[in-house]
Amino acid sequence: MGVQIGEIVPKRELSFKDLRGKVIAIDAFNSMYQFLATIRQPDGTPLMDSTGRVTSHLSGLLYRTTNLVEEGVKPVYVFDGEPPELKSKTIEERRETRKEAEMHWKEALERGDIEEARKYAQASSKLTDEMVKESKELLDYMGIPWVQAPSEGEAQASHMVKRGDAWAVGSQDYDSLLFGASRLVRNLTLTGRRKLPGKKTWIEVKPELIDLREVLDKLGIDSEKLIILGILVGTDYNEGVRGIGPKRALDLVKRTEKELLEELLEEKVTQWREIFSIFSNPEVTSEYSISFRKPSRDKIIEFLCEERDFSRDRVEKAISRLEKSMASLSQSSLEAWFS
Amino acid sequence: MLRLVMPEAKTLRYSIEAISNLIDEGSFKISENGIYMRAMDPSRIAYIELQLSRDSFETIEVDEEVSVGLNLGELKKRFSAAKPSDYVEISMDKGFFVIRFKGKGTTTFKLPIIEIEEEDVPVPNLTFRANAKLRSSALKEGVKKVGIVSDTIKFILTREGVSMVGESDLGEVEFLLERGDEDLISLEVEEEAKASYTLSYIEDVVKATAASEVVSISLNTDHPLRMEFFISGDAGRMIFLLAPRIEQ
Repeated sequence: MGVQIGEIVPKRELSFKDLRGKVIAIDAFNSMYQFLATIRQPDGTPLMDSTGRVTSHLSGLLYRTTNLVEEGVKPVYVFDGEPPELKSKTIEERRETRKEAEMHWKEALERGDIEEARKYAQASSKLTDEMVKESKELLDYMGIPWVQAPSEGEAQASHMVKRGDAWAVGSQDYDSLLFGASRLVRNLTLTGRRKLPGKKTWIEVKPELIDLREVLDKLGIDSEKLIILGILVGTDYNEGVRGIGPKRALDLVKRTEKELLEELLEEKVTQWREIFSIFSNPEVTSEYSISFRKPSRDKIIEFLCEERDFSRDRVEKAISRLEKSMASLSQSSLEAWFS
Repeated sequence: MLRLVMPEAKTLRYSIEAISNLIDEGSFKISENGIYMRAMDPSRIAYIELQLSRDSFETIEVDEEVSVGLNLGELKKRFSAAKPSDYVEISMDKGFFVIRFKGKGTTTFKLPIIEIEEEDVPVPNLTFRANAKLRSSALKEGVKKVGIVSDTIKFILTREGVSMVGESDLGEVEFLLERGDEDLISLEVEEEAKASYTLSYIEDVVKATAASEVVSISLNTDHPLRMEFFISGDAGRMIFLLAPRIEQ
């Protein structure tokens, strides 16, 4: 879910051309939840192999990553590590939500209400340790780099952008702005069209860029106040102050001195200093390497087709596209030598 | 008044063939000093500059400098229709670029001049520590041979010689010009250099060798490549810069 500040944040539509040759540190869990939620049959049943193992996440990783690389984007997947202690409540709530959703999904299926069934099925998406392990294995075979975050993936991805190793964070959530990433790209791993939740209409989804500098300029606050704004609205580590939405929160942080805001937080949000510090001084590592390697055709086929019943024909085609695009990723541009 | 005459079509024909594969549209500056154009391909991987000084022309009559925007694909088609030995006359007429070839009969093409947004083409800032001058035909030969095995070409300049190397799943190939080879005109290597490039760009630009006897190649390890094709002695030159492939 992340911090809900989307409605006050300025966004710019991007074309994939603007992203050509750029390394994007993608929040892996965020993408995988998207794959698990969206890559499903009309009644909500996820993709599965003949033994009943869910494979939606692997399908997403293979095809959507290939699409990205074909556009010249250099994706690096950043996986979550140990969540901060403060997140446990959120995690517990999400588990409950999924459990309930799964119950509703089954009920809807019994009623024959396909529309409802799919909706609840999506909300029931679970990401298991096994799925994470499989995903890393597939990425290795694809030659796509991934990084293990010590704690929050978005914090690690933001750290990589700050160090200049990645151009932007790729995620649907806005937390990376609080973690200080200078750029955030949304809608990266979605396909061209996305179904609006609960509606039968499809909208065209284009990548969008959120530039931290522009955000702060437009909102008229600094990065510390942006974190405070986030805490007031609610983050993965706290509920937010009742009755304060993004617009009110912005109004509040803009016209209030930091000292007074701190007093307000002290009164309304337990452990606010710890939450502030998760964003301003997150647990990250600089021990990582980003290298793109040649995909291993045989391994991908064994892993997906022989072990998990993927269509050999489709997978072969994707690998060919991937091979071709990976080869062109090493082409640099003269821009690096403009002075 | 604008009128340029070249006794043979080949210089323009082969230069334009080399450029048109990399760049769709070009803005040519035509003045009493000759023809000049420079452009960068849309993905900013290659830069190209063409200078044809007044010595390249038999006659050059230009009242004032003009910029002429042309579709290079179309321009190439017009020049491909000419025999290399055809006499060429260039002029302008009410929004048209007029090309007249005299050989078998007289052919007059009128090509519409297009609006091109004048954008500043930045020039990469480069200095080179390894330079070689070779016969263009030798470069062409090397590129052709590497292409049999690989779609990437690695240039290696050492004090001993120039080599072009290709590697792929299909095996390896090396084309070597040792110091002393008559096709290797000069070799100045302060620091040995090697870098890889996407072959298709080189294949495109090497088409210019048909209009050029001599080419100089400048290199720094993992830096852009610079090739300068000398056209009809020193009367013209085509400069080509290509960004390297950086294997991670």
